[in-house]
Amino acid sequence: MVVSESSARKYALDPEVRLMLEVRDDNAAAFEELVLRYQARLVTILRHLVGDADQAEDLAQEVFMRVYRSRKSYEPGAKFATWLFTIAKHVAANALRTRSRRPEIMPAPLDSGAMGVTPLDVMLQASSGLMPVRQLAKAEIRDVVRVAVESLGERQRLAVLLNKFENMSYADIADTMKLSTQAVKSLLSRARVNLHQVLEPYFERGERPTPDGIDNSQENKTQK
Amino acid sequence: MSQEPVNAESLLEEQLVAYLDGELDGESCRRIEELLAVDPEIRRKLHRLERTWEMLDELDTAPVGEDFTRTTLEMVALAAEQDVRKSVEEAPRRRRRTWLLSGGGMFAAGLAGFMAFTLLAANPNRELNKALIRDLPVLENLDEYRQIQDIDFLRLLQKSGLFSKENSKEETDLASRPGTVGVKGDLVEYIQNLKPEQKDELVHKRERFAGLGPDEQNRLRELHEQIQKDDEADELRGITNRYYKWYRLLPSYSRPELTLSAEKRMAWIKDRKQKEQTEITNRPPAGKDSEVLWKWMEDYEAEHEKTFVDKLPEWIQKNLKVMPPAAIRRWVMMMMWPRPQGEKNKESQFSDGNLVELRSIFTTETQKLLEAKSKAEQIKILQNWTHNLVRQNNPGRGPGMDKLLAEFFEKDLTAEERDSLMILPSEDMQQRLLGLYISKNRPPDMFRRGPDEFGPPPPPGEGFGPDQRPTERPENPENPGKKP
Repeated sequence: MVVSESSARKYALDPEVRLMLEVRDDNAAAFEELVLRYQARLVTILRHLVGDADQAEDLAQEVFMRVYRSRKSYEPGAKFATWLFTIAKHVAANALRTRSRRPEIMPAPLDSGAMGVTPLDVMLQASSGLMPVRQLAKAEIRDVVRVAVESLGERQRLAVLLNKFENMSYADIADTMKLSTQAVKSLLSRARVNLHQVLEPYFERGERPTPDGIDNSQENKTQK
Repeated sequence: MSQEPVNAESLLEEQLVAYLDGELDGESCRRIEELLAVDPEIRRKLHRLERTWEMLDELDTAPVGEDFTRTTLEMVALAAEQDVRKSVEEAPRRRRRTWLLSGGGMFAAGLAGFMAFTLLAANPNRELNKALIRDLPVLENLDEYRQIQDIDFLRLLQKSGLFSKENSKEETDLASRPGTVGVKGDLVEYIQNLKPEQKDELVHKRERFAGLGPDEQNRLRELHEQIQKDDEADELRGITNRYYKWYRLLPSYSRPELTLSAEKRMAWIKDRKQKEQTEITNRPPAGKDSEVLWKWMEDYEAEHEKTFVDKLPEWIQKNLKVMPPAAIRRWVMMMMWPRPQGEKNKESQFSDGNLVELRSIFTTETQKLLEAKSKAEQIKILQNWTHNLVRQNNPGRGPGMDKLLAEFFEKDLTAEERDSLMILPSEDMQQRLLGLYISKNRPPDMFRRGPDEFGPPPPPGEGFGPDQRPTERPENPENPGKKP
């Protein structure tokens, strides 16, 4: 990628861009610092993109490997986070394309552990009296919201995650996803409307969402 | 790309979402706020969108443990090591040598090595790290141990007293090495506290150790164990270190072969040490003499640098032109006072005028020592002194010199010479390469006469280079008919 001198100067002020420039010069400590800063964020985004906690960690490691392998050609043409999540987007998209989905579940269910509990676990614990009611409700809500997010189309989902978890501006999301700012605006708008359609029945009437409860037919018509 | 008609409701939703995200410009914000003020349905729509967004706060973030960090860094470290190996194996010879000589390969290896060392702190129980920790003391003493064929030879060195304990800085350095008696605590911590260049060197040693083969590796391990268990382990380590330092200063052609039996080797060493004591040919002068000699050398270099450089081959002059002045000075110093090479360059490196001048600047004791020698012996002593002072005071070569040496390595050495260099420890390799460079490229007539007696360069084929024996000396202008 050819980067103009003014862009390079502009982004060189980003402390993480400076870290990456040190990685380019084979500074191992700088690379470790970037891993520590981004590992949790990257795994979170990927986990919600692909719906699988274990796979999210594998994909996050693949992202870091790609960062390492491309270090020599790195030029500061964007914020570091933008560049990193662009790589993450590609990695996630590849994973989703090659993974075969089970039609009855979308996405794959969570395992018990650090990433949360499945609805079945929630019910079992509740019936055993071990889980307080408030915690039960929170776990269920979390599960419901997760399903709602993972039922979005890939691009809407990524835009939502970058906006929500990374606090990225529309412009940064546009850079990451290689879209226009207007396209990002449309994506996020439709995503929120879709999320609302999925979540409203649950909050109004306790109806749990289904993974295919969203019409994503508009997903591919986003203007660029 | 096709574009569907955008209806008014979609547009409004976009504006509301952008408003909630703070992405609207001032004018658009004002219009939305006007709408919100007058239309309750739009207010409800905004509220629903806002509530939906707040629901996303329920999404869990992914906690990432130390295991993830460790395995990620390990993956990259392994990839870095593979890159180094692959590049060394596949790169064109010139690039490979340049990379090795300039230390470029060490950066990548250092990355791998650094990360491997970082991993040690997190999980010293991994098999990969167990091997590193186990062999760390051997690696740190690799070069020294390689010159000690067995514990019997080491005990002979101890008994001879030739490398007995001295009160020098080296003792402090040895005390901090792993495997030294008295070094307490974690080897992991030791590794972590190494400077980056020390870690690079350790990675390089690990590569060399791995290339030695199991028999030699086990021999070195066994030697280390035997030293460790000895009641006088500290002293044996000191002797090993001092012996190696002395050994390295010997010209490569005169080093004792490891294939000699311990007794024969010891006999050779004793003989050599005795000659050194009486001839002082391998030691630079001490104290004030060393200072005045170095000052003389610097002044001489400053006065004759241009003349010297002008006589060099074109391609070397071209490379020198792009070097900073300090680097050129360093380079010329090394070329002006090479290691004495026996018969090859014993001829008049110093003129009679130089000898008189030098004797006058030394202390009385050194003057007497020199005056008691023949002219040839004085020249030989001064050749050794000046060469050793250059090595002592001129550390490092700088990037310009590295480039010259890399080109020389590729252009001017035979395959056998290159191979013989590659098996040496890195510092020895660089010194040996530099020595070869100097011997093959020094202007042939530089020291044929004194500083004020330069004449035209000899015709091609004449001079003092290793393959240029003088056939007929030009006449000395001060004594026509007589050779200098």
